[in-house]
Amino acid sequence: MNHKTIELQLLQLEESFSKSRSNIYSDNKKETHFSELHELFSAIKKSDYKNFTQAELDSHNQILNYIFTGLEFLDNSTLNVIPYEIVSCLEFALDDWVDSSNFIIVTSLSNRKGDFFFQSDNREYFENQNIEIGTRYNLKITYRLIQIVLPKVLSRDYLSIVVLYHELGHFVDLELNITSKIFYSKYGYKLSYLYTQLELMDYNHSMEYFADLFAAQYINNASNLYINYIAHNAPDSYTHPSSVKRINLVNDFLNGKTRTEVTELNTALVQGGCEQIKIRYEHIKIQNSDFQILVPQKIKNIAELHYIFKLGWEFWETSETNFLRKLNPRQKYHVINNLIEKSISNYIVKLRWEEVS
Amino acid sequence: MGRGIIRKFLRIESSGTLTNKEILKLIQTKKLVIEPLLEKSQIGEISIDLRVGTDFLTLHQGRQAYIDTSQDVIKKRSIKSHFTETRRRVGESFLLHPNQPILFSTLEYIKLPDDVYAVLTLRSSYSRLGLTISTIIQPGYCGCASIEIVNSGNTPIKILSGSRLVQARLVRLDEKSNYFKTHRKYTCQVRPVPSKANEDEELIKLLKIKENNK
Repeated sequence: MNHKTIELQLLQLEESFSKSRSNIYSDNKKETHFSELHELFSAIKKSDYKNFTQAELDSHNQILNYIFTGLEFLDNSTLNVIPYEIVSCLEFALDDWVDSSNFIIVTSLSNRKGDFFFQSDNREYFENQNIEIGTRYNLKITYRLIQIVLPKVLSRDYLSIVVLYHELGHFVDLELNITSKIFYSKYGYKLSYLYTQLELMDYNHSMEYFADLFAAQYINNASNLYINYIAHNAPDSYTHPSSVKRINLVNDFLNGKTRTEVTELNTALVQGGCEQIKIRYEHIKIQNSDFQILVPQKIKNIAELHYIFKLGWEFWETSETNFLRKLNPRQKYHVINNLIEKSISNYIVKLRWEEVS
Repeated sequence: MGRGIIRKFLRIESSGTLTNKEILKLIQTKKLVIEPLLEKSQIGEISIDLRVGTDFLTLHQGRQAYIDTSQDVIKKRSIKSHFTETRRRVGESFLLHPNQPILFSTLEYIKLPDDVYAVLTLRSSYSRLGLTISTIIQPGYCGCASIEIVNSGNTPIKILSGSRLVQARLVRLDEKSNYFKTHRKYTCQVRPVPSKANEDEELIKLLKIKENNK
C-alpha cells in the first residue's frame, strides 16, 4: 500500500459525500454522525498523506473504510428507507442492556432475501480510533453505529423481521462478552488456532442459544416460528445448533423449565453485573385482541409493544379459522402487517405526544 | 315529530349527521374506532378533526407518458410506480407544491359502524389557502383514510405531520350496510394507497367488448 491507495479512497469518498450530503435525517444523532465523518474526511484530505509511514497508511486505510461503511449505512437510514417501527422496538430492547444514547441504529437494505444480520464497530477499535484521530486531528466520533442489514423486500414484513431481535441478541452478546466468557472459562484462553473444531462449534452454538433466548424474552417464540419456516428440521452445523434443539430450548425457557444453557448464561450475566435473561413481554390474549375487530392493538406499555410480533404470528398461524378467514391470502398478509405497523406507530406517537403535553 | 317519537320509543337511532354526544357514545361502545385520538377536543359539535399522518405519496412524471388504468397485467407499469413514497415523523414538515396531487394517510386509524359513513372536508383554515380534497369513507370501513389533496394556489404550502387538517362529518344511514359484501381493495390500509383503478373487475368485460367489436 502506498499513498495512491489513500488518494483513490479519498476521491471515492468525495463521490459518496456528494451524494449523501442531500440526505435529511429525522434523527439529530445521525446528522451529528454525518458531520463528524465529513470533518474527519476533510482533515485527512488536507493532511500530508503523501509522506505517511507504512503504519500511518494502514491506519488511515482503516479509518477511510470506517467512513465508507458509515456513509453506506447512513444513506440507507433516512426515514424514507429505515423500517422505523421495528427499529423503535429494537431501541427499547437495547435500552435494557446498554446505554443506547451512545449508539445509533442504522440500516442497510439488502437485495438478498435471507440477509438479516447485525454488525457493529468493536468497542476497542472504536476507542482506539478516537484516540488516534483525537491526537492527530483533534476530532472525535461521538456515536457508535449498530448496523442492521435486512432484505429490502421484507422491510415491512413484520412476521420475518422478528429475526432482528435474535440479531440484536448477537450484538448484546458481543458487547457484554457473555458467551466468550463462558467459552474461555470452559476451554481456557489460548490462541484461536489451538482450539479444536468441536470446541469452536460449541462456542458458535452457545452464541446462537444466547441470541434465541434474548429474542424469546421479548417476542416469545415468534423468532423461532420464522426460523422454523426458513430452516425447518435443519440439523446441527458448525455454526448453528439444529432447529429442533433451538426450538426446544426456547420452549423450555418460556415454560419455566430449568435448562443448563439458561443457567450458564444467567450466571455469566450476573457475574458481569448485567441483567439476566427473563421474560420481558406482557402477554396479550388473542381472543381479547383489538386485531379481532380489524383495528390496531391499543398497546399499554413497552412489554406489550414487544409482544405485538408474537400476536401477529398467532393471527397468521390461525388465519384459516380466525376473523381473517374470509380474506384472500394476499389480504391476510397485508392486514396483519398493517395492523402490527400501526399498533407500534400509534404507541410511539402517543408516547411522544404525552412527553410534550 | 311523530316519527321522532316512534324512533325514540323503539330505540332506533336517528339518521343524519352525528352530534358530539352521539360520536362519543359510539367511541365508548367501540362501534366507532379512532386511534390515536391525541386530544378529545378533536371531536367537535358535528365533526371530528383528523390529523395528517406520516406517509405521503407524490405523483411524479416518469418515462411512461401516461398512467394506464385500463389493465393490471405484469407487462404494464403499475400505477404505484408513478408515485414516490416519502415518510415524516410527527412534527416534521411536508411541502405541498402547486398543482401536484399528493396522497397522504390520516394519522388516525378509523373504523366506522356499518350504518355510518364519513364525509371528509378540509378545515376551513386550510381550505382558505387554496387546498382542495374530496373524499368519502364508506360505512364499515377500517383503516387510515387516504386523502388526495391538491394545492390549487400558486404558492407552495408547508404543512406539519400531525396537524389537524381534515374534518370528518359522520352521517348515519337508515339501514346497515355490509362493507365486506364485495371484495374490498383498500381494507386496513395504514399508509396511503395509490389508485387501484386498474384492478376494477369490469375492465376485463370492457376489454372483451372491445375484442368482440373487431
